[in-house]
Amino acid sequence: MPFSLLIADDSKMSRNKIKKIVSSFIPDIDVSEAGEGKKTLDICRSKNIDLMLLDLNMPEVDGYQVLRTLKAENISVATIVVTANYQRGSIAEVEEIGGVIAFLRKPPTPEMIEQALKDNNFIS
Amino acid sequence: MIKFSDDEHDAITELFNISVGNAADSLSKMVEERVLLSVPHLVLIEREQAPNYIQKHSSDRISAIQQSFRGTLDGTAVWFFQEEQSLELVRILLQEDVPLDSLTDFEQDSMVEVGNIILNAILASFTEMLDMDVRSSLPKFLSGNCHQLLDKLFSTQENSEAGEIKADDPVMILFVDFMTGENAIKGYVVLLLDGIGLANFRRGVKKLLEP
Repeated sequence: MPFSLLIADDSKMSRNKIKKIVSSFIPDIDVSEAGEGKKTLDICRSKNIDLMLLDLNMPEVDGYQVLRTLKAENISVATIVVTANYQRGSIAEVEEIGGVIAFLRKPPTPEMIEQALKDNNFIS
Repeated sequence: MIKFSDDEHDAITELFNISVGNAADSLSKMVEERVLLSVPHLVLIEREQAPNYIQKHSSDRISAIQQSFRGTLDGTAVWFFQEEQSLELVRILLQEDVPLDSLTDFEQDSMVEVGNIILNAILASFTEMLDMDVRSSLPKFLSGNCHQLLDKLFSTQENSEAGEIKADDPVMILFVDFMTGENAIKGYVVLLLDGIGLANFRRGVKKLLEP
């Protein structure tokens, strides 16, 4: 079964870049995309997602709300947060919610994503 | 006239989003508090229509920090906010209550420094992602009647020394609020580029969109 990846980001450009980078490390991959939080939650509820790359700053339902809702609904998705909002306060809030395995600053480089994938045993 | 496609609009919004995030991080370190951001909203509008558009979204009196830059991109970046909010900014920075008419040089200097940090963080992120290089001039603090300030800033004549400027060239306006504790600075960042700067900027954006 292909590796199931969800990229949640309101920027199409960022989704495309992330898709390209992750696909270069994990070739057999099934990519779902969401441009806002509500769709992100719908995908998480309906599919088995191996890994989600999540932007925090999205319109209406933001990344924090996505994480809180998943936690409240007991849906476990390994999540790498990719955000421009790289402040101690944001990191602390995300850590408090839980479920996040890495926190990357935008724009993520291939090296940053590779390291996060290695650290969490998605690739060797 | 340069018109951006939907994909370019998306890429520019994301460039601003990342840049403003870095600016908030810098501001957060300065005020030692978490700085929350609204989701940035980008408007691309023709230069000659920009003053009226901004005026509709502003109070009668506005304050601004303006910073010019030269390099691969030539232009001006301006952070606008309502004049009364400059007091909020001083309160956040100096943790003091100050009436508007008694803003001292020191307090104005503090505002210019915040503007400097925010605009430079935005410019630095922008140009780094576009693989470009610019050098900024010293920032200026502007305050006064919204109409007069905007007319001066957007006049093609006033700014013609920066390169060819067309009245229908696009201007980038990013609406974004910075919030700390109970304070919110509602404002917008405007990026004005001359003709060559716009062409270079577009080339950089197209490169980002390459598969």
